[in-house]
Amino acid sequence: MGNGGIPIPSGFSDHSVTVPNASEWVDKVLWDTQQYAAGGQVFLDFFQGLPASLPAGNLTQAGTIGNNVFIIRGLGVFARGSATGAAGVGLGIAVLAAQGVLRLIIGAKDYGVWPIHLLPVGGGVYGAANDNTGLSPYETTNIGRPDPRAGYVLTRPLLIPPNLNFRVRLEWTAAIAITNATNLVVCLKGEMGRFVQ
Amino acid sequence: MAIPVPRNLRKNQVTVPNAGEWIDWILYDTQVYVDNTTVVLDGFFGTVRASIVDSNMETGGQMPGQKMFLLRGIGVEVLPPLNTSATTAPLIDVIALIHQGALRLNIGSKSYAEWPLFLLSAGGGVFGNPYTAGASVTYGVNGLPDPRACYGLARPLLLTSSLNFSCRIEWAAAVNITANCRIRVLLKGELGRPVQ
Repeated sequence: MGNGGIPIPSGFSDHSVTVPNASEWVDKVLWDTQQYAAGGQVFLDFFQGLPASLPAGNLTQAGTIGNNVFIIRGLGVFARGSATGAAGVGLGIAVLAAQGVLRLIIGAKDYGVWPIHLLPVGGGVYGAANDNTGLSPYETTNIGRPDPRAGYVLTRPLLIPPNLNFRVRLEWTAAIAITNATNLVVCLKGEMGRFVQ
Repeated sequence: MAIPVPRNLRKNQVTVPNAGEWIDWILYDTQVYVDNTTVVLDGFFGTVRASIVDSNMETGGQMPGQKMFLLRGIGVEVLPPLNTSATTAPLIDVIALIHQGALRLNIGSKSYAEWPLFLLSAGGGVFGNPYTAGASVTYGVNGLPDPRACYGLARPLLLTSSLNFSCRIEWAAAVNITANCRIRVLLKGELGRPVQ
């Protein structure tokens, strides 16, 4: 029974958040942001440093999940546009997604390489414009549909144990110039195991 | 003669005396983003708002009385200011706010999760091609305007009564948008409460 006698369905009890002296598994997205320079980059490494702010990323120890456990169930790449958001993403992301790959490295070896085109993050803005004032009609261009169901899901989830190094690298065969520097975000979606409060 | 109720529908009866019930519920709370000023909007769900349009929290920061809430999904919307003729937030403003922000969910004394706002599709909003003669019109919504396109937690979270919870949205810097707008956070799930 729950508070005041309200019966808690048996499946719901598994989701209690205040079980003393126990561990818990919670929904978790790890993300990191790196800027692709307008002049071009050959690669960008993610999750190797502490982010400057929460919007930029949420890793609390560079390169590892610390004492926690993380299972990666899906991953994706998202283009944020300029650092201030003033400039939209434009078609730069289309160029970068078509010509780049994402490499996931856990410990000392590769655990997957995917064309960026195949890695929709499953989010973003949907919108439309009937506009004559200079806003780009491509303002909402990104990878994939802005729909959580459209996020790339691993056929085999990957469990990262505590303190094991991991990183993600976006690679291109040559530096590709784009119109505006663009912040790229890599998201690793899954669940985190940790000690409960 | 009473209408026979199929057996599989009986569990959904709403007036069973002396029992509890679980029903579909969305908790929501709204705050104003001030153009080029706001960096943090803290304390979502921490206050009982004056209007049901802004929030449906009955008690600040927690589920009241014997009520509980099973959190299954979460979403964030950017809305135009209240009591104006604006029907939607401009596309460029929605992009700026959604692309640059992140939300943290706090339960009890610690953070339970955080997400970039672009992952928190609200699952609703307008759809279609806007047109106003002689004017520029745009709109944007966070994610596809489809209830199925809502971010669902890999692990739901059960919020028992008297357990504090809140949401906080952060931007790395103040965002320059066209005008002030409202940010609404949606917590989607099921409400457990004593039956009427």
